[in-house]
Amino acid sequence: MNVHWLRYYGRLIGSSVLLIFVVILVMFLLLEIAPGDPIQSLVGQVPVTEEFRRQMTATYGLDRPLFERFVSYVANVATGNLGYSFANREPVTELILQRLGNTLVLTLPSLVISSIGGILLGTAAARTRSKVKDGAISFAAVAGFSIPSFWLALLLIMLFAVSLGWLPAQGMASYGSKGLSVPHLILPLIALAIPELAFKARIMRSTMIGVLGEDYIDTARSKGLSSFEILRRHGLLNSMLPMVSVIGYSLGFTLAGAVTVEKVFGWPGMGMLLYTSIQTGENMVVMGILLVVAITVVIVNILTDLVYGLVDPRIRARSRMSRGVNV
Amino acid sequence: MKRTKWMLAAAAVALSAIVVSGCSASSEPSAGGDHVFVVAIPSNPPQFNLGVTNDGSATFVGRSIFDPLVNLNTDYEVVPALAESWSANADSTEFTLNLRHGVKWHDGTDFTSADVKFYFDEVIPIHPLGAPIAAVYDHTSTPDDFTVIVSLKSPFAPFIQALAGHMMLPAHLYAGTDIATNPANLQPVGTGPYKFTSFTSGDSVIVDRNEDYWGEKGDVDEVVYRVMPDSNARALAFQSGEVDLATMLPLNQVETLKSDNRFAFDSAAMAEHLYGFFNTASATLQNADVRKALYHAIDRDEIASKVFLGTGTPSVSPVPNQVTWAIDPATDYTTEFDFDLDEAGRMLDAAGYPAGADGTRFSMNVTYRTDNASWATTADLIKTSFGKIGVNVNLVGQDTQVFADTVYTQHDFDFALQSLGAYADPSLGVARAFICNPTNGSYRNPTGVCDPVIDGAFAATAAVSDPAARLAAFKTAADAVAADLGTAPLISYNQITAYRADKWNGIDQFNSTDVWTWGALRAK
Amino acid sequence: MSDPVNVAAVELPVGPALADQRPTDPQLYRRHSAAGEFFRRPTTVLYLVVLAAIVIFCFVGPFFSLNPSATDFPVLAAPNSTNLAGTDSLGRDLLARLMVGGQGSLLVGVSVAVICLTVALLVGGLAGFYGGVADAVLRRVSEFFQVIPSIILALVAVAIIGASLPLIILILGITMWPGVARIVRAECMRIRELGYVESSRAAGFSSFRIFWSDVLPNAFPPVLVATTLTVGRAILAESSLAFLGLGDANRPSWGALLFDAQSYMQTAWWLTLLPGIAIFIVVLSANMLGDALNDSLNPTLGRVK
Repeated sequence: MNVHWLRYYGRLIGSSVLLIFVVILVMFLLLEIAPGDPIQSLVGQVPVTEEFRRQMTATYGLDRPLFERFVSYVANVATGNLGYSFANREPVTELILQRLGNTLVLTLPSLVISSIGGILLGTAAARTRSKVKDGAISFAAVAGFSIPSFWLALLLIMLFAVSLGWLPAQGMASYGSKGLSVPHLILPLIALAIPELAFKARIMRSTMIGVLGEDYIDTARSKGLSSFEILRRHGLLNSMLPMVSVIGYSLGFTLAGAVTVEKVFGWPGMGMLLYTSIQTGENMVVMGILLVVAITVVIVNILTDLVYGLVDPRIRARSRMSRGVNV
Repeated sequence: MKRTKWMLAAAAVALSAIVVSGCSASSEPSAGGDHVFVVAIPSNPPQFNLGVTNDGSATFVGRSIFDPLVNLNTDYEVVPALAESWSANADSTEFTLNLRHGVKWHDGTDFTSADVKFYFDEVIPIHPLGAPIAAVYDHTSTPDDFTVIVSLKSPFAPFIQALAGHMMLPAHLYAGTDIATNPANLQPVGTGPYKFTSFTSGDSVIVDRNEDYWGEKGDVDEVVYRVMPDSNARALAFQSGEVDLATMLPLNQVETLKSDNRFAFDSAAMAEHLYGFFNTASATLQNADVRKALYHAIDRDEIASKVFLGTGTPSVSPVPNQVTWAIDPATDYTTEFDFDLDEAGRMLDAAGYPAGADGTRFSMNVTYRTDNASWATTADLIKTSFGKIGVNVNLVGQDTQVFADTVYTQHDFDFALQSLGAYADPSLGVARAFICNPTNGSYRNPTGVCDPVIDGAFAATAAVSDPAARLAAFKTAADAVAADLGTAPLISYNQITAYRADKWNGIDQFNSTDVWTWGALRAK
Repeated sequence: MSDPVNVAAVELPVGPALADQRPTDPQLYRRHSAAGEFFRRPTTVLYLVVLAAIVIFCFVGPFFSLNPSATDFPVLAAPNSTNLAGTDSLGRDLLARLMVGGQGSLLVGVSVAVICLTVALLVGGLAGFYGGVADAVLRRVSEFFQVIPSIILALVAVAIIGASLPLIILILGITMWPGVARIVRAECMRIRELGYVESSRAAGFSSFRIFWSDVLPNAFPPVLVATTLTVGRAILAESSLAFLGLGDANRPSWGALLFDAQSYMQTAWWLTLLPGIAIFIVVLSANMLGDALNDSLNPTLGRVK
């Protein structure tokens, strides 16, 4: 493409890298004031001997000054090394990638289901001439994202796992087997997807109402296109663009935002890792997860921007402004 | 048209997402024999070298891979393990251990006296519980491959009992290396009934039966330890049959599950003690009479019945109630410090803390750990009770790490709740909650009390082996603690282990570190 | 502003397809009739009544309820004539605890919304009206909060800094204000280009005066909507934190009641069900109210056929 295009994405990527740096800096300082003793976390419920403490401090360079540790951390991050987890005795990068897989198994289907469901429901609400139907869908959508997802998860467990005994409530698979079993996936998927779906349906409804009010829709109508054709050719496509933003954003969010749902279902994903790492004072892991989430969101943002640009250069120019990116 | 292309691309992304999630949806049974036994462990094991960690979950796993020199049985009697027999000299300063012949490490190397000597020389000094032995240890000599003579600088009567907590490590893998970071810590090689197979951090540990084990072999071919940090999650998984054995379940759920005859419950052998620690550096609490008044204002019967649901009892002495041989009948804190709000109020009046115009005497923090809901509810009951005598309580719940930092390092607390295990001998696990702690070590005594009388009394309990003499020493210690009351013993209890009685026999053979005996396990 | 409901709910960047829907004529907000429109809707009145009832329940109720910390009742009693909502594991009356817990939750919701509103008006207003440094700062800060979801940041911050109610309110306020600020900014940017601002400028009024008396009042309606929605979001966020064990132990909130209820799911359904319903009703009412407010303030977004 042209120079203008290159310069635009060059700057976008540049400012994204800067943003990641700021995220590292802020989180590093925040975690610095966190109380706790990593060496104690290595040992457990007993006194740490002085000799052991000296040995560990030296091995892991815990006695170096803050600035020095920060610089070496940033340098490591640049090479994909997110540090070392004391409690897990494993490089943080490996640990997170392992858990990221488990989270994606939950998040991706939720993303697909909630996106398709949200688009369908939202469109139905926007199109219908029945005030009751629109009202019902709109109410259900607001209700859907007013439910605390962890409470929804608890209710699902109480009903389907405890009372009825139909579905398992904990973990990714039954004992003796590894990997993932589909019955284990159902309840967490519902708990995760319902608020997402409700939210996307809402956006879709208001976008679609806006789009259907545009002049070109009237033109199309006057040309004699059926209302389904209008919806398919103009309505859906034009309301898709904001949905792309929403879907992109929600991916980044659910990566770690699933923490309460993962906790309720004992799902060994990234949210759970974040929760346990916060509890055990595993700062390197907390930092690593926040970074992975931030980098994912940034990449998804850039991809969203690319999609916008591919669809319509005019929209790209507008989206750039409204998304607050340097032009 | 551009838009059609874009639609196609979107559809492709959606499809690939479904395919990706579909692919990972395959369920593969793990390798191994017919009898798989699943244990729910409460945390991710940091590693499996029990020489440098005594993390609870690491202990569960490590006990199946490693053997100690001696074991304690359910009745706290010493029974042979890697050492077949032992003897001591008259003043308990020299111990001779005769090792079992023909024992091999999982990698095929012979287990010999060199391994034991290496352990005493190199591992004991850095072992989390090594301090009592390290303090008196002098040297080890090995006349032959199967004889070990350990010499101590001063008498230490519970030496053999103390050995029950130490799992032997292979010297050929550890000698000359950094023990704490040795790769074998994550690929453990032991002499035990199970061989390490795999570890998926945060998820599971798998071990398979050691067919060459020197001792009795159980029916279980493969053990899967599943990491389940949430106590409610463990209870649910246990109830739904996903695990065969679960530890540290919420007590109220144990009550619910008891009605189901598929399940059985066993109290672990090790006595646990919930302590309340007063910070004697606090302006108000430096007065021993104030501490005693507050001890009177804690309704320990209510805590025992509502929080411990009858599985715990109000402690009568510094030593947990279960360890009856170490408690003199004349010692009874439940009568000496009975629940009496009027008495508590009178004592606070006398100590110079009368109720103000609004009924308030003073305010204080109660600090507790949030890893177990029982501590929070105990603190809640104490808050209500103290409130009745005009002492305002501010609850401070903290994660384990933060708790250790604020209570032990910063001393930023007024009254802290902490539970500590008694271990094989009260001189090992109980004394640490009362004796002077000048280095501010965690999981010891954070009160600031440094009383030579108390320290001397507890030291005396370890220096003699005659039961009557030890009982007398513990009585002296109990009286010294009651006089000063920096550390208030609250509740004695045991951890509860839940298991599937309809599938397995013989899980009731617990040893001193709260782990069952694998060799006794039989499938039904 | 087209639909602050959505924007506030996830701090979503304003989608381009929405960008042109905002009215260019301030008269379109018709503030006089907006109030009428707002109160004419029966559902609006319903949600207002529900919210008012909950506030009365939480703040007046305790004068008539049992003592929320008394432990003298039978433990884990199902709802009955003495304990209308049952009792918890320590034998405390759940109804009384729901009232006290609601105080915590409502306090968080309202305080966080007030913090967000104040900071957002200041920073967003400056950024939108003056642009320049303020705008650049707001954009950077918004981007920061966009790449780290606010609930995650709050989770880490509360765990590190401490879980007392004022700290939780402060942390949630800090992590949630940029969403509202972006709306303020967009509004101020829109209004400053309008005719009457030009006339004020021509009349020689200081830019502060124009900002204060022309721009802010006109930007207020959509900001009010976003603030209403922030109440619901803050209550949800606090309940998530409390559910993860990061609540203030001295001021129990509904989320904290749910945290305590976890191990009694099988034996005492009321402990899990009732606090959850309370959260749901309040958040739903706040969201519906924001919705209704949005519709009556912004009639261009009515049904299009």
